[in-house]
Amino acid sequence: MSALLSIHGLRKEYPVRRGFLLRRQGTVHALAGVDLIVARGECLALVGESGSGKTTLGRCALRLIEPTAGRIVFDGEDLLALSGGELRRRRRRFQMVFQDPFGSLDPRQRIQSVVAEPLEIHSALGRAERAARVRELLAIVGLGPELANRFPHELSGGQRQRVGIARALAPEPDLLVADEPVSSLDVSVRGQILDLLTGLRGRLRLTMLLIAHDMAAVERLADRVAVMYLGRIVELAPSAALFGRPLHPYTVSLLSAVPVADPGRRRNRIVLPGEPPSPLGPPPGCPFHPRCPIARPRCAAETPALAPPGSAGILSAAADGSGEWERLAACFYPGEMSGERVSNGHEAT
Amino acid sequence: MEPASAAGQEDAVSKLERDPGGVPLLAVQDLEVSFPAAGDWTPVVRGVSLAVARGEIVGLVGESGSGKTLTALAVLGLLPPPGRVTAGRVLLNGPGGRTDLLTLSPGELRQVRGARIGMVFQEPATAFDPVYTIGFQIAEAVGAHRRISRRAARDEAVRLLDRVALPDARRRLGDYPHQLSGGQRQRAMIAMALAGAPDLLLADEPTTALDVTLQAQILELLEDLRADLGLSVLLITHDLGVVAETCDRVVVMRAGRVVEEAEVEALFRAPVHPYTRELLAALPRLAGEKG
Repeated sequence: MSALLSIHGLRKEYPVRRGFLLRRQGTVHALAGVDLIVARGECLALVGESGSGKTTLGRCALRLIEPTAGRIVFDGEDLLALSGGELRRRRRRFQMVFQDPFGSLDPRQRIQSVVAEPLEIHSALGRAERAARVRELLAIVGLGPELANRFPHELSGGQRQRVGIARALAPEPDLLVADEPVSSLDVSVRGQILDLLTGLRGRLRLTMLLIAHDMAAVERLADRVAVMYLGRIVELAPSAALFGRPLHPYTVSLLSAVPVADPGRRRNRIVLPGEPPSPLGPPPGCPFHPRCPIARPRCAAETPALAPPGSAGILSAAADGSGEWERLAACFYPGEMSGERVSNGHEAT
Repeated sequence: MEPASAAGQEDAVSKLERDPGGVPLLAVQDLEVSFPAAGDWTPVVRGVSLAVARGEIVGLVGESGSGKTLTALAVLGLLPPPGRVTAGRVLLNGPGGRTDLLTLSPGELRQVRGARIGMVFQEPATAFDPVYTIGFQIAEAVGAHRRISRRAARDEAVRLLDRVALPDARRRLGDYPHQLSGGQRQRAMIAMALAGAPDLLLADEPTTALDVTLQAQILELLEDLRADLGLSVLLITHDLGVVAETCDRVVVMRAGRVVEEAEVEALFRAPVHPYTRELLAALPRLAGEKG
C-alpha cells in the first residue's frame, strides 16, 4: 500500500507570554515530534485525552495550523512548500468533518447552499448541475432531497452531522479528517453515523484520519490506531492488535478506564494517579513516567522512541496475521503491564 | 407495554416501603412536570416514580430530552421557570419522619438542599463563582448549614477536600476555580456537595465533561463515598457503561416517562422494554466483532 499522507518530525510549539511586557515565559509543546504515515484507503485513528495533541495533529496535517517544524507530504507533494493559492486548490483533496454540527453550519444558510459552497469553489459545475449534485450528496449520506431547503436549526443533531459529512464529500476528497464526528451525538444516533462513515469508506474508497476519544467508535471504524500522550505518539498498532493486547502502559490504563456496559464483569479498572502533566513543562524522560504504574529509574532519564517492541514473545506472534509485526510502542518495557483484557459489551439482543 | 412497565415502577416504590429495613431515603411518586405551551400546561415529565434506598446508587438514564435532568431539578425544587410540578410527591425520609419536598416553603427547601441532598453538576466550571476562591466557597457552604466559626469552616473545607483526594488541599484553598483542572474542579465540586453532610447526592452527568482516566477516578470516588459515608447517589447519565460499572439499580427514561426500572444485572441481562433494548444495541462494543 502506498502512503497518501506522510508526516515527519512534526512539531507545533506555542509561545506563552505573560505579564505587562508579554515576555516569553515558556513554550507549550503541543506536538513534540510526530512521525506518521497514513496509507491510501485506510482509516487511521488518533486517540488520546484532552491536551494530547490529537486535534492539533489533525489540523497541522491539513495545514489549517502552520506547524513549527517538520514535513507533511500529501500524495508525493510537500504541503508546507505550497503557496497560499496552490494550497487552496489542493484543499479539494482533503476535507474535514467537525465535531459540533451546531457550530460548524452557518445558521443563515440553507442546507442546499451549505453543501453547494465547496462545489462553487472547487468545481466548474453550473447552477442546475450543482443542485443535482447536492441532491446526490444528500442521498449518499442518507438525507432526503426535501431537506435541501431547510435551515440547520430545523434539523436534528444526527441530520446536521450528515450534512457536515455531505459538505466534506462534495469536492470528492481523497482524505477525510473527522474530528470527533460522533462525540456530541446521542448514543442511538452515534451508531448510525458510524455506520454511515463505514459505508462511505468502502463505497468512495476514502482514506480517513479519525480523531476520537471514544474507544468503541475507534474500534468499530479504524484499521490502525495511534495513541497520543502529551504531544507524542506512544503506541501505534493495527486496531485488533491494540485492543486485543495493548503494549504501552498508558494504552493499557486508557482502555481499562473505558466503562463497559456489562455489570457481570465489573473489572478492576486501573485508576491512574493524578492528571496528564502540563505540556508547558513536560517531565523529562518518558512523558508518561510520573503516572506510570511500572516506571523505573531509566524512564525518568531517557525518552523512549516509537519503535518495534523488541521482545521475542511479541514478534513470534507475527505469523498469525494479527498484524503484531506492524506494532510500535514508545516504551522501554512494552507489554509488561497487562490489564485485564478489555471486555466486550453485553451479548444480549 | 407502557401500562405494564408503569405498574412495574409502582411496585418498586411500594416494595421498598413495605420492607421496614428498606424504607427508601427518597421516593418520587407520579411526578409530573409541565411547561406552558399554547396557553395550556403541557406535561413534559409524566408519571415518573422512582426510589433510592439508603446507601444505594441508582442510575437515571436516557438521551437528551428524556426528562432526566428535569426530574432531578424538580426533586430539588430548582425547576427553571416557567416550569412547575403539576402532580406527584417527592418524599424524603429523615430523622423527623417523612416530608413531601413539594409542600415545603422556599426557605425550608433551602435547608434541605445542601444539608440533606447534595448536588453535583456536569460542568463544575459554571457551578463555582469565578471571583471567589474555592476555599471560600466551600467554607461558605459549610457555614450555611452549621453555626461554626470561620476558622473551623475553613478547617472543615480542608477536611472535605482531603476526603475527595484533592492533592495538597490546604494550599488549594486559596485557588480560584479557573486555576484547577477539570478533574480537580469536579473533586472540589463534590467536596462542596458534601459540606452539609447530606444523605443523598444528586449527580447530573458528573463525569461527562471529563476524560476517561479522570472519569474512572471520579466514579471510584463516588463508590468510596458510598462505602464510607453510607451515601445514597442518584446518578444521572447517558452512559450505560458508567451505569453498568457503578449503579445498583437503573431507571430508564424516554420522552418524559419511565420505560423500565430494574436491578443493573437484570437490565443488562434481559432488558424488557424495546427502547432499553434499542439503547443497549446501539452501544458500540469494545473488543467485539467489527460493525
